Amino acid sequence: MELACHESNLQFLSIGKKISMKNKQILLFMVAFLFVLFAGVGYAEEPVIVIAHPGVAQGQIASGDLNEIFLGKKKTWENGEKLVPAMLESGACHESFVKTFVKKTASQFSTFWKQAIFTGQGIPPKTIKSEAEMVSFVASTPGAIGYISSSTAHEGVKVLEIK
Amino acid sequence: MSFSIRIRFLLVLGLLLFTVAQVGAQDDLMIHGLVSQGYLLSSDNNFLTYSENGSTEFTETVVNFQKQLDDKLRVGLQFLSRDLGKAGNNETKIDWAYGDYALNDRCGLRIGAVKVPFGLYNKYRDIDMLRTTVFLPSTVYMEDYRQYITSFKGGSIYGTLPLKKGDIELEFAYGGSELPDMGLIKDGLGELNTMIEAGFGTTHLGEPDTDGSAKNGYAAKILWNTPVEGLKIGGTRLSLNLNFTEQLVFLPVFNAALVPVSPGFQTDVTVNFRPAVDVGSFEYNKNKFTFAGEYMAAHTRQDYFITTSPTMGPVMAGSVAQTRQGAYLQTIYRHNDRHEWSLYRGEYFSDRKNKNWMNSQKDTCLTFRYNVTSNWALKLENHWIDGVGLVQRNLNLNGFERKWNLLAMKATYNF
Repeated sequence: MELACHESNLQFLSIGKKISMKNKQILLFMVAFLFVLFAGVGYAEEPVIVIAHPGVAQGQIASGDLNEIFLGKKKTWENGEKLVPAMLESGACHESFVKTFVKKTASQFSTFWKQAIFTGQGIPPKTIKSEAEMVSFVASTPGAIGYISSSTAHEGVKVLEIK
Repeated sequence: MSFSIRIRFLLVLGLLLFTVAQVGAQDDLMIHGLVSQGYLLSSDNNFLTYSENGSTEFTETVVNFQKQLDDKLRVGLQFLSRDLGKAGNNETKIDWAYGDYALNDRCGLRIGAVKVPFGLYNKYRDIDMLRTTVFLPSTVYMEDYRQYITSFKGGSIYGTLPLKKGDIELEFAYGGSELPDMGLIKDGLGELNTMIEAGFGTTHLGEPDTDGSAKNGYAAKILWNTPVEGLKIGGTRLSLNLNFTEQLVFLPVFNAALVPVSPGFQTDVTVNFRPAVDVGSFEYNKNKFTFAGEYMAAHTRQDYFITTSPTMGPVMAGSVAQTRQGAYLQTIYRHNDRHEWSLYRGEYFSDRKNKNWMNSQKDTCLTFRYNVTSNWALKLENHWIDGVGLVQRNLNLNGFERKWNLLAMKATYNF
């Protein structure tokens, strides 16, 4: 009788452990799901222009080339001059550019470069905090290419036509 | 090495390298890293660690340094310290370290300890911060292969072949791979010991010999970025040739009168392990969704050689050849920059002709990832599993339960 009770208690504890763990799992997922109900960060789409150092020879750039440049696949201008790409840290302009030309969301683009960093397969474009700083960097760096909102002042840089 | 000492060591090393690198190089030295802590809890069956009781033996610390020396040459290295049950044990190792020379925009060479192309995601399998899930599907990315395919000491050549639409990425890596952790060798040879005792009598395993070799490994990858925007299709082939030895002590045999009839002696058992693994893959990114799937077939042969008598040469004690297969399909949904979900279903068989729950595993996995900031990520993951084909035998000496759950949680900070 005692042995049967002991075994019964052990079975109960075992089932209890399983039910308890299952409840913990359900509770954790419910809490997690609540986060999804809250909207995350989002931006309205922003018209974007591509800018380059005034010393860059070409006045046009292909949409596909922008994709390759900002994914690290293209490293030189048409005349062989070294490309120095720069990207914004965040914001509506950054999201628009990345979505339109790199064909990724900002989050996917960030993950792409983190993957490159942590596998040693590449160094990301220089990260610029603001559009004003982007204009300043591109204007002063030979071979530089970047992007800003069409409404941002851009003295000292060349605007590239996208073909 | 304790957690705090490990961090201080890596930070001091990073500062030293930063200081040295300021002289005569083209761009700034880039330093990145991460620290990750996880927790595993299984309803039954210990997986990777003693997870039935809950385990925090689930950590990674990574620091890497990269510098563009000139227009064509980039150098870098990455230190990785991990602990997952008996693997890693917080030892700091070089994850990769190489010079990358760009022959042109389309192709280049890497010389050093190079990451191994295997499937779509092997190159960052130790860094879950780079994906939605805590674990890659183990039905393709088997844990017992991890230590062999972290990196090759040798080199690789890589390139991109542009097409009218899309392109093809190619990579070939060659070199010697890492031998397994000694702790894993001892556990693996526990099964060999059982085999030998059945044939040759009572034995005792001594300390592993560190003079093993891992030679002639190669991995080849082809990945087609198709004209369909967001769709890539590819395949990889991995081939390894590993040898390692273990001391084996045969205990004396006594008759009923306790007179020794066979003296004890010590010898070595050599394991030759030759896997050839093929993986076919696809990934399709569309707006907030990613759909991915991979299929793996691993053809392996393991030969065991021992010397049973001081006067005889090594003889083959056993040989095991098998074809293991696995696959998975996955859907990832990125709700916004903060929230990501993943659902995958994987299946694995170690013997297609003899499917039973002991040598197969079906895994349904649901993951939620919350990016607190761009530097902080939290993950919550649950696996509903049928079968134990990928569960470590040496962690479950009391037997297995067929259907079980695995809960995994992870917090990661990266810089």
